[in-house]
Amino acid sequence: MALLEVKDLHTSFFTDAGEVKAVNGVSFNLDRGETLGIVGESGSGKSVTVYSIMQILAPAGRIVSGSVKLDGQELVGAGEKVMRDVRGNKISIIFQDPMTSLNPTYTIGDQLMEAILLHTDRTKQQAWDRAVEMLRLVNVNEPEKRMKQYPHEFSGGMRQRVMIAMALACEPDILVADEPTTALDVTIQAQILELMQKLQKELGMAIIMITHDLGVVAQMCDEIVVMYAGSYCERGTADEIFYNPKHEYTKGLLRSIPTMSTMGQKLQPITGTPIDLLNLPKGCPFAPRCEAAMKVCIRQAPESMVINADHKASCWMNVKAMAEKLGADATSNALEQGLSLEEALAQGAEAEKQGLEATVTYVEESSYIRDEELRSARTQAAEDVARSAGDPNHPFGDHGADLIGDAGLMDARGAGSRILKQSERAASHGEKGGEE
Amino acid sequence: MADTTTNETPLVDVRHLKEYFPVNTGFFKSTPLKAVDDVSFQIKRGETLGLVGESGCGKTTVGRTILHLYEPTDGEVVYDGRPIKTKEDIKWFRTKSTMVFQDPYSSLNPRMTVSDIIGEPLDVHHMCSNAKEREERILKLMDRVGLNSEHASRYAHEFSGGQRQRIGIARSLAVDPEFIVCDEPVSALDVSIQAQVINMFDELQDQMGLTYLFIAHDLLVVRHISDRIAVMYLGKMVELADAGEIYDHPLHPYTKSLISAVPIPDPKIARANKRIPLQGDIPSPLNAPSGCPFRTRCPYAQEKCGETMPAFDEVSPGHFVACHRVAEING
Ligand SMILES: Nc1ncnc2c1ncn2[C@@H]1O[C@H](COP(=O)(O)OP(=O)(O)OP(=O)(O)O)[C@@H](O)[C@H]1O
Ligand SMILES: Nc1ncnc2c1ncn2[C@@H]1O[C@H](COP(=O)(O)OP(=O)(O)O)[C@@H](O)[C@H]1O
Ligand code: SF4
Ligand code: SF4
Ligand SMILES: [Mg+2]
Ligand SMILES: [Mg+2]
Repeated sequence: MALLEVKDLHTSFFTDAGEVKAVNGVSFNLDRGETLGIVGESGSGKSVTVYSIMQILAPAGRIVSGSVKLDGQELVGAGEKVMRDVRGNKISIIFQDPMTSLNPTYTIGDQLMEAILLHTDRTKQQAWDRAVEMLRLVNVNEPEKRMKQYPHEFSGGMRQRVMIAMALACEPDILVADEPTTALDVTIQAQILELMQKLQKELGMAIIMITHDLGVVAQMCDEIVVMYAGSYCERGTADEIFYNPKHEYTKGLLRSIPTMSTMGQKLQPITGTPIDLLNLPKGCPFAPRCEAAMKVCIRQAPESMVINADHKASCWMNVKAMAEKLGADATSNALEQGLSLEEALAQGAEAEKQGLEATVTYVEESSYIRDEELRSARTQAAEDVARSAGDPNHPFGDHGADLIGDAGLMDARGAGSRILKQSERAASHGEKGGEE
Repeated sequence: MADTTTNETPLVDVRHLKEYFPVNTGFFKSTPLKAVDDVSFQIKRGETLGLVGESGCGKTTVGRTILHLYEPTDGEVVYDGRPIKTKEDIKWFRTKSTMVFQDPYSSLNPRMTVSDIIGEPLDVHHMCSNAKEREERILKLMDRVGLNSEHASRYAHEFSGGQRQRIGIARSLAVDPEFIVCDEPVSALDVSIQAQVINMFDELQDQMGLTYLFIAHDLLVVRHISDRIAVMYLGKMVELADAGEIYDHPLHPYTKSLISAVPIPDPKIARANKRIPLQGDIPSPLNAPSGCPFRTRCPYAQEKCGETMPAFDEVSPGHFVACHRVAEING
């Protein structure tokens, strides 16, 4: 069981202008000692996701559906008493702007001690000692002296370190950092990030790191969730997301940023303007800006698909790629069987077209894919693909259902491809048999 | 004095520029805050010079002082061979130069239409003889920065950040400038929009032969757009070299640390990256250290570093560094 399990979280703000669907079906797991990055452009729902987990939403905001489990305990609907304990002892947050989260009229020491006294059973003297210890932990020099100073006497980097000290005072299981270094210089940012990594090792906590800086993510995170317009595009290990992105938004984002090797070249920006949550499109929220968008993208939101054990993505391109692979497989199989290039290509093209159409047509027709329906859709898709290979009588029915099982759509496509190969082999045996 | 260009006459020649701000430090006491302290460099025509350094090190002040938005405390700016001294010089210089600001939200008047915003500098400098010419110029400027002509009568607040930055840039281009100080022009924009605006700066430079002083704190953005990069620390310039050179072979201890701290958007490189952490915080410019400004945080500091400010020397062709121990450290 993961430390934190977030499943299909939906959060909306009910405003005069209408329902703002800030988070639309985000899911992820977080283990102890692990760092999860949430990336996405401003307004994509990163902050609202973690505010929902902690239930510190603005009054107009409400978790509409979904589940948040901490150590197996369901937090959605658990009530304020439970949540107070969670916020005090289990999940702490560092906000983006340290100046607005520190009170300018109290000393740093007073504010640290207040946090400690609130969350632990300590005497005032013990709280003082603990506060000094925390300041030392976050590399604030002369901590005893610093305790008596006011926030304005601290630099931005020092204030952010105080915020970290305060967040760590209750020894949380999870530290949430909402753009903790956005306002800081790179050298100070490096200090803070290194400090967080060191403390994580020492204290074994998990970190949720919200940022729009892909460099910070690459440096800090084991796992990454990419968000767009409140939906999650993909999630996976850092290496999967950076080296094997499977959503057009992530790909676009990675292409658009300057790197060490883009000097003297044109960047490839993502075109268009950011999303308007009050007018979400019906299909994929990124479709209006996506250069790869297909008809199906506009009609139907893509489901989350399994790319591999470390990676899930919600993008129709993966279905298309699979269909293309089916086509390529069919072509090469046909060639192996001795068909002419022309015939082989025609067969491949047909297999690809049918594979894509079979999946897409079905998905378009269902408003929401339930497991049962999905299963029959996959069977249907696989059937069509197999048929396109020229063997309408292949008895794949039972066999196909076995193969397809409960696995993801991608597995179904893989099954389709295997069935296709089998049917081709069967067909070629048949031919050979006829010759013999 | 260090001549930081080779051979050609520079378009912008900054000589021993100083900008001190008087700051009240008690009853009737005022101490000069040395925001820019004896800075010299040149920018070639058509070139982009990147300017980086920690917050408060004096980047914006350098930009504003060059443009004489602040009167220099000392030193001079020579533009295209003409020293900028008198009111006449400044007036002339203003028709050649302009500034683009960081915040596309607050730098535009929300009650003005796009066409008023872009047209204002045209009116101030009496650049159009009639209304028709004025309108044509405005539409041409909007087209330059990729804005639709239908946008002309709309108000600034109706636009997204990236579009507002385009409006601001169109306004800056109205005077037909040669030289633009870009102060963090993409910092407030979302990553996905940044690339659009960076490309636009690139294209405008190609089309109009513009020269940029490009200030930014994102070092990858600066590296992408700049031909050469200058690094400032506490009001002083500590290193200047070609953009590639300064990343591959930084020579000043501060630059080394700065560049090692850049988060690289590539997990394998980022994990292998050895950061050179800086101890402590940047000192207050009100009591800057004697000698080398970096010595309170420099791992190589020695006694002589506290005695004199190191000269800004050309240690290899086109590579300038201000450090007493540059040879030993990099030897
Ligand atoms: N008008 C002013 N009066 C007094 N001090 C000023 C003034 N403008 C700037 N300063 C001070 O001069 C120093 C340099 O400021 P400047 O704005 O040039 O920094 P910067 O490098 O642009 O920083 P940032 O990256 O934060 O924009 C700072 O210490 C700043 O507080
Ligand atoms: N209190 C609120 N009332 C209405 N809408 C809100 C509120 N807070 C956030 N939102 C909306 O929710 C969306 C996601 O916001 P947020 O999570 O803050 O984005 P980010 O990814 O930048 O952290 C945005 O469209 C934002 O405008
Ligand atoms: S689902 Fe379609 S529109 Fe959405 S990102 Fe993928 S290809 Fe683009
Ligand atoms: S002059 Fe001295 S203190 Fe300054 S950077 Fe060089 S070695 Fe460090
Ligand atoms: Mg946020
Ligand atoms: Mg500035």
